[in-house]
Amino acid sequence: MRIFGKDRVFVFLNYILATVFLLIALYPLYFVVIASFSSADAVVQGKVLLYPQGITLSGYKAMLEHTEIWSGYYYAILYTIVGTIINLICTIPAAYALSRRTLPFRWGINLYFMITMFLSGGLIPLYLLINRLKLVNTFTIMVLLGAVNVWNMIVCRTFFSTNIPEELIDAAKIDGSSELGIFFRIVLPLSKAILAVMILYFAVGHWNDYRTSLIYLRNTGKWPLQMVLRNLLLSTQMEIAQGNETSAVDQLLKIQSMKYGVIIASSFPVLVIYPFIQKYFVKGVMIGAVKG
Amino acid sequence: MKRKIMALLMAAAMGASMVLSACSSGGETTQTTTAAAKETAAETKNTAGESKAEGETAGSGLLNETGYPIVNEPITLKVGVKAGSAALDGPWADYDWIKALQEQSGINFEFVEYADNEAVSLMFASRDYPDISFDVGNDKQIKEAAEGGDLYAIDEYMEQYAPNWYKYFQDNPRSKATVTSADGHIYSLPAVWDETKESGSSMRDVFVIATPWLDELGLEIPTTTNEFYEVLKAFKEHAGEGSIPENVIPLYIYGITNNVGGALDLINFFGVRVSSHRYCVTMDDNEKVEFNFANEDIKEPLKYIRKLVEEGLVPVECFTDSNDEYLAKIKSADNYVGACFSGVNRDDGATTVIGVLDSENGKKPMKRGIEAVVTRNRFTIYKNCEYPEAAVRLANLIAEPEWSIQGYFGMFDGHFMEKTSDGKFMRLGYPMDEQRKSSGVVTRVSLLCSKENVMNNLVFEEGSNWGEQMKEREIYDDYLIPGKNCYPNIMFSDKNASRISELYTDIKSCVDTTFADWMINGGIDEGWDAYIAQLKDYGLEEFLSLLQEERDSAMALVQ
Repeated sequence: MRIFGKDRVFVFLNYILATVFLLIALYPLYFVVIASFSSADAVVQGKVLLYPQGITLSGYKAMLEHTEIWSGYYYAILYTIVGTIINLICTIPAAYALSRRTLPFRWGINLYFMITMFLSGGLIPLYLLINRLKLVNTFTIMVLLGAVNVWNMIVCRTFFSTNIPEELIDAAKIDGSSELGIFFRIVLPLSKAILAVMILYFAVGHWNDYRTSLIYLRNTGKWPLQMVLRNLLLSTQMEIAQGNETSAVDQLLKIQSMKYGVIIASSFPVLVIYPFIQKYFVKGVMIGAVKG
Repeated sequence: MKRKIMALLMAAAMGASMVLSACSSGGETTQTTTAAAKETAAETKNTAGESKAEGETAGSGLLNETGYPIVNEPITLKVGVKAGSAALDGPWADYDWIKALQEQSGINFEFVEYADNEAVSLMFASRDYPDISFDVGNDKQIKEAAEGGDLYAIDEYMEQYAPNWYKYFQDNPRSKATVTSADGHIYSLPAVWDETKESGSSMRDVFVIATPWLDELGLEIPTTTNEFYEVLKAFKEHAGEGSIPENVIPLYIYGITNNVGGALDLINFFGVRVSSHRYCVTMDDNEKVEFNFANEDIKEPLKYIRKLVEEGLVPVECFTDSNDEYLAKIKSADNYVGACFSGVNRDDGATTVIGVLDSENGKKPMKRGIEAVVTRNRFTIYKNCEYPEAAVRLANLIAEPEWSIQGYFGMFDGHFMEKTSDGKFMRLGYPMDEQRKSSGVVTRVSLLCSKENVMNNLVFEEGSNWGEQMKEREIYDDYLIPGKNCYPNIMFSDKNASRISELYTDIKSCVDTTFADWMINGGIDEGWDAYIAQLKDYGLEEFLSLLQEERDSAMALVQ
C-alpha cells in the first residue's frame, strides 16, 4: 500500500507517538535491569539514569548467598505447579459441563457462579472460615484457595460452546463414546489453545501471588518468592520506623544492591515461558471473546 | 458490645473493598453474613473463659515458683511475632538468644509469624490469638482486646512473679504512666532503653562536620553560628580544591522538623526549645504544654537557615528528599557533605562530632533531648494462654540484666559481649550488622535496660567504635533539654486520641509546608501573622489543651 501526502504525516506522527509510549512503558523495565548491575550507592543517589554506573555483580552475589531466596523459589514453584493443576482440574470440566446445552439447570448454575464474581464474604469472614477449617498456615490453603476462578471459567465456557460443535459430540455419542470419553478424547485435544492460555493465567497468578501467603501463612520458612521479595523491599522502611537508623544505613545499601537483582530473578521464569505460550493467545481467548 | 460493632464495621468495610476487587477472588465461594462472625466471636470468648479456669489449676501444678527452669515439665507456648525483615534478620527461631532463653526457661516457643500489620489486624479482628506475643499490636488493638477481656492484666501477677518489672515501675512512675491504660491496669510490657543523663534525658542526633576539609582550609572548628556560616561559605568557595569535591553540599539538613537529620538542633542552638519527638510539643518549666513552632523566637533561627539556603549552602532538594536519599547522601563513600545532623557519626574519619554553636543572642544554646525510650506492647499475654504465671515469670527472666543486655547487643560469647571479672557487661568492638545473627531482636522483645538493671554496669571495650561513639556524645551533656521538659510518652484516652491525631496532622503539615516555603522563597516576617492565624484556624489552642489534659490525667494515675 502506498501512502501519500497528509497520510504520510499522520503515519509519521503515529510512529513518533507510538515510540514515545513504548519508551515510557519500557523505561522502568530497563531501569531495573541497569540498576541491578550498578553500585548501590549510585542507585540510591539517583545517578543511574540511562546506563549502569559502577558496574558490579555484588547484588547478584549477595542474592545468591541469601537462603530465603532459594527457599522462596522452591515454594513458589511448588505452589505454582500444584496450584495450577488444581485450578485446571476444577475449572476446565466445570466450564465444559456448563457449555453443554443438555445440562439441566444450566442457567441457574451459571447465575450461581456469577454471583460470586460480584459478591464475596469479605476478608474477615473468609479468614474465620479458613481458620475453623484448620487450614491457616498449611500447604493446602496455598494451593486450594481460589481453585475455581469464575472469570477464567467463563472464558473457557465460551470457547467450548463456540469451538466444539454439538454435531461433533452427537457423532461421538452415536459411535458409542461415554460422556467422559467425549471430554477426554474429543474435547480436550481440540482445546489445546485454551488450555495453554489457562495454564498461563493460573500459573502467573500463583507466581505473582503474595497476598495469600501474607494472610494465611504464619511461618516465614514457607514463604514464596514474591513474599520474600516484598519483605526485602519493605524492610529498610521498617527499620527506619523503629528508629534504628544506625544499623539501617549499613543495611540500606546491602538491600539496595540486592533488590533489583531479585526483581529480575522473580520475573525471569515468567518472561521465559511467555513467548512459547503467547502464540496460543490469539487462538484461545480472542476466538471465544469475539464470537461469544 | 463495642467490639462487636467494630467487628461488624470492619467486616462491612472489608467486604466492600473485596467487592470492588472481586475479579481476583471471584471464585471463592465464601460464607458471608455477620451472624457467623458474631457467633465465632462469642464462641472464642467462651473458650477463652474456660481455658482460663483450667489454666489456673493446670498452670500452678507445673510452675516452679522460683528458680529455673520456670516449669517442672516442658511446656510449649505459641509466641506471636512479626516476621523478621528477611534481608536483615533470620527467622526468630534461629537466634542464639531465643534458643538459650528456651533452654533456661524450659518453655518451648512455637512462633506464629505475622507477615505484616494487615495480618496482625486480622489476628485481632478474628480473635485468633497466640498465647503470648512480642511486638504485636498497636496501642489501639491492645486496648480493644483488653476491653474485650482477651488479655491478662500483667500487673496483677507482677509483684509475685515479675519482681524485676514491679521494682522498675515502683522506681520509675513516669515509665509506669507510659504503659498504664486508663483502667489502671498494665496489659502489655514495654521494652526499656534508658541511657539518660543527669538531666533525665539522652541524646538524639549528633552534629558532625568534615574536619579534614577544615584542616585543609586552615579553619578552626566553629563554635558560634556566625563562624559556622563562614565555614560553610569557605566549603562552597573552595569546591573542587583538595579533598572537597566539585559537587559539595556544605550543610545537609533533612527537612526542618524531621526527628532524624532535620534542622531542629540548629533551632535549639538559638535557645528555642523545639522537638518533633512527641507531637512537636515540649513542656515549659511550669509543666505547661508549649508549642514553640509558633513562638516569635523561632524567627531568628529560621532566618538564619533561610540565609544558608539563599546562598546555596543548603541545597533546596533537602526539603523534598526521601529518607533513603538523606541516608545515601550523608553516608556516601565519596563524602561530599560538609556538615549534617545524624543519628551516628561516620566511622571512616571523614567527619567529627562537634559541640553546640552559640548564636550570640544571649540565650544558652540547647540540644534536643529525649526521655528514656519506653516502647510499648512488647510482651502481651492472651487469655488462651494456659500458663499465665509461667508467662509472667518468662517476662521476668527476659528482664534479668544478663538477658536484657544480651538481647540488645548479642551473646556473652567473647565476640559480641563479655562479662568482666567485676561483673560489668562489656560490649566488644564488632561490626554492627553481625549482631543480628546473634540476637537481632533489638527492641522487639520486652528487654529491661534500665539504669540500675543494666546501664550502670554497661562498659565498652577500650578503643572500640561503640566506646568512641559514647564518648564523643558527652560534649552535649550540659545542653540537653531535660527530661521534665519533654512531653511524656503516654497513651491517650478514647475520647481525645483521634481528635489529637486529627489536629496534629493539620498543624504539622501547616508547619512543614510553611517552613519549606519560607526556606525556599523567603518572606518569614511578612508571612508570620498569616502563619499564626492559620495555626489558630487549625485548632492549635484545642490541641494544646487536649495534650495538657491527657498529660495531667496520666500523671495523676500513677501518683
